[in-house]
Amino acid sequence: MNKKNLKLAASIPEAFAATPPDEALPSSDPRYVDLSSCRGGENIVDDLARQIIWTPEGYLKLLLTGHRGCGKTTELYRLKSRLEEAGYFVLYWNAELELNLMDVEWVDVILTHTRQLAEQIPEIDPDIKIEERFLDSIADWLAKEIVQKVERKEMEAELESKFKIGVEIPFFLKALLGLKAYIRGGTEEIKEIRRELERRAITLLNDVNLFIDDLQRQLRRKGYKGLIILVDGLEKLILRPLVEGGGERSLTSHNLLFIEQSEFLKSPSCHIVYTVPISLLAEENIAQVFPDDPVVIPMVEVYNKPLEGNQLLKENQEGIDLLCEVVRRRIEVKKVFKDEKILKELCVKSGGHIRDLLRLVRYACRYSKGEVIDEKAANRAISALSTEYDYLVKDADIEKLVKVEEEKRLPSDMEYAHLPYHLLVLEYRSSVGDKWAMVNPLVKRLPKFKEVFNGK
Amino acid sequence: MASELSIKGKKEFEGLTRALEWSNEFAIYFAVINPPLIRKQTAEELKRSLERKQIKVHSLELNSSYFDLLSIIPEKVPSYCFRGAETEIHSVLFIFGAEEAIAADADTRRLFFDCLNWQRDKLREILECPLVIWLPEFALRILAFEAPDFWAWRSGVYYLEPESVWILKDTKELLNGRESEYDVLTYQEKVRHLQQFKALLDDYEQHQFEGKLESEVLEIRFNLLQEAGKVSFSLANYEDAKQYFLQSLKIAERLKDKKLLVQIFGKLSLVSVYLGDRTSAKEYAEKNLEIAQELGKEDIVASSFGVLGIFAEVFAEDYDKAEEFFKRSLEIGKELGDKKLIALAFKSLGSLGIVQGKHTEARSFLEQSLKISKEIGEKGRIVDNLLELSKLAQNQGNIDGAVRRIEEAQAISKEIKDRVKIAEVLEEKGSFARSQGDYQRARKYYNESLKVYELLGDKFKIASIYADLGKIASDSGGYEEAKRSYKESLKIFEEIGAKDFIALTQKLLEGSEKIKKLDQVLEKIEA
Repeated sequence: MNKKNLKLAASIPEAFAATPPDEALPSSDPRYVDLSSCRGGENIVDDLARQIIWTPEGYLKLLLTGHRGCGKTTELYRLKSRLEEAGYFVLYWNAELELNLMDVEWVDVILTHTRQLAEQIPEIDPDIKIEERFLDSIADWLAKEIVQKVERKEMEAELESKFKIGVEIPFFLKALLGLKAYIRGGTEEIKEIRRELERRAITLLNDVNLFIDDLQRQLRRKGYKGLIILVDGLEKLILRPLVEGGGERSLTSHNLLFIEQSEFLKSPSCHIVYTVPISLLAEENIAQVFPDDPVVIPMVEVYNKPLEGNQLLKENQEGIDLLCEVVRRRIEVKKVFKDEKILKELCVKSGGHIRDLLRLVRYACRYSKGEVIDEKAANRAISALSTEYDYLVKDADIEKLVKVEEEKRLPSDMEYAHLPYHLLVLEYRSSVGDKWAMVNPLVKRLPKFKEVFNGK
Repeated sequence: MASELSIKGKKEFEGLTRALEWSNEFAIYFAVINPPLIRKQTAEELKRSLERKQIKVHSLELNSSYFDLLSIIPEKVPSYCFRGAETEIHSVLFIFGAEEAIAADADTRRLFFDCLNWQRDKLREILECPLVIWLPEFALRILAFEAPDFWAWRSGVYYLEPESVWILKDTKELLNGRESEYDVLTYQEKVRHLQQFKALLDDYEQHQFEGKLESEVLEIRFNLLQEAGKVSFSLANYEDAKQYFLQSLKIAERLKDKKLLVQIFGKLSLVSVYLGDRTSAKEYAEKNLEIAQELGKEDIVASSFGVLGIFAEVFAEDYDKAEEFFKRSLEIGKELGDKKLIALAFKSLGSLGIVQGKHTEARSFLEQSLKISKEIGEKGRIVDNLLELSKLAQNQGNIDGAVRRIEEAQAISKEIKDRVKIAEVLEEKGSFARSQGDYQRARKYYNESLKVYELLGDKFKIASIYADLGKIASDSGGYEEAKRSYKESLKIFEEIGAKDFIALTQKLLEGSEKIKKLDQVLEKIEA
């Protein structure tokens, strides 16, 4: 089942097509299931929306994070709808599509906000006027840097031809589109342009805020409660050590953007939600630079939090039922599964990770011999996905995994940070919001883990 | 259907066929198959099978310098694979060669994975059809770990395991149809060989080869490891090369086969030299000599003496000992009537003579080596001798003679189209120009040789040339440029673990700083 065809899958081939592991759901998609009761009891969308709605003065800069495949994009789409319903003008952009994630600095983010506003607002509401004059000086300068021309007319013509930009759009947007091509291309020139822009940081930020303030005024006149920007995909910023500006502590692409350059990210005069890498939570300084607690999307609890680390795990029926519902919104379970117990087993083995659950169903379709998914096919699916995790478990990780499984918590130590990063360890919030963790059920099946764990 | 595959492999083949029939949206599938020849054949079979079901298949070939999918796909993929195509055609895109980017150097690999990670969304935005990425298991293992975002979107991994007999057949074909001289290959060709060997080695670890003698299978594995070591050495991946050679040494020891042992000790000795481990280098060379003597392999005994001679000359500066070794090598060569060995021994003696300042002797040895090399048509060796004779002429102040010899060497290197020799001649021309104070010309020649070494992917030589460029810059007062070049050189030497050269380049870097300061002081005094 895809967007074109939202009827429930009633056969194996249809069920296979209905469970793509790479799809984020649009906000009003009927396949969406609210999982918040088993994700710490807090509805992430409500939580974020409330924080914004209840802040009439000043502008919040909020962080959203979670493990890959946990549904960040889906929740952001819903947040967008929720805020729109509440009367806000919401701009969403995806860093994966707009930036070069190998190399992002604050200048790229701020200018992308500006460009996205200039591009998206006239499409959504043609009555709102994009005031070029606020960005004229920066655009002049930027265009000059990009096309190396002094005369504005010449620059304009060259921006149009060089970057195949439409004639009708404002000059500053042409300059910004030219810059986007440089950013995406990752050319050497972009570094030079950035350095120059940083020297003009105050002017740039001032101009951008004049531009945003004007939009806010116009939006309010039209009845909107304000402007909100949602930036998705920034959590995928490639982590790399940076030599330049190293200094006393190690500087990485992550802490450069989100810690060192945080003041710039926070400077636009509107509410913004940024998605950030989960490893950033281990950064001591994050609470100082972003005082509002980052919102974390945990896994869906398929077990209850044990009172003691080594206590036998008890299945969380509500969580399993919710996960079954995720599948039920895509597939006619009675027609595709031989027995509902088989689906429940897949839910438990997914560890509450939605993407893996969909993958397990897909794999079970792949291994089914008849017209329905039977136990054998489900077991083969579990075994196949478990084998794929084998690639990610290094020998040196086993002892760490055993410790997590014994204590049911993830030590806040950088040495353990890669375990949730590769989904070897899954993190949960209990119904009262307590944090806990366990080894991914698919990893627990691996002989190299079992040998050490059972040997203890 | 897929006749080379095992029963398990055939089931996976069926599964993949079915999945592609059911997928008319963007999705990422991995088809894992180690032997390179069977990989291609199986892909062809799958293509035919899909085309019978009216599913169009288009293929893309990546390599170690051509892997940016986002720029390749719009140019190379037919319009029916894209979203919003006028005609909706059920299609699939096969992608080959990812393992070449993965087997390449760390920077290339990182770049490739970064591309995959952050192009994922964009690929889905433009493509309507599923991707099937064909690769060996070693590459998949690395990709899963290093490109987690891309990996997270996979819709399935299919292990198309071949029958053991086909693995053996594929290996034999690969080993037979291969030139064992890797130095002259381009970087990409070397990487391609390396990933093929690595892929097959995985199969030899995992498979039971029933009905085959253990010794036969071990010997094939030995050859694979040795070839993987040789090609890694040629890429200046010395640590990898050493590991491959050590693994093959274990097999040779297990088989108690001295013929195999003698093949490997010499290589271990050489790789230890480049890693700056002189003690091991000497020990391996001595073991090589010992076993060659036991086996009565006189030609290997002679070349072992040659190697020990070089160690005595370079490591210990014990020229008498070196001369003794070279002369013993020469004697054996004469006894065997092996002109190649004789020419090599004369050349070694000639080079030693230059170092010792014994010009007349050196000339005589080099002329003899040159004469024999011409007789047997060993053009590479002719080039070596001409370059040594040019150095000798320089030392004697005979500039015209030096130029004449180098030009002659260059003409031959071009005639035989030997890229290694072409680069060596250019390097020597750079060195000669530098000695004449002609820095502009020296820089030009060094840069030309750098280009050839880059093409060959010889990191050791690339680092050496950067150090040479640093020297020129330092000589001509360009201290910042010198610093940059030395740093680049140092970075590469550190990457390949060449300890001696790391130390040497560090000294050059420090020396350049000192000269800069001295110059500044002198300038002040003069002012």
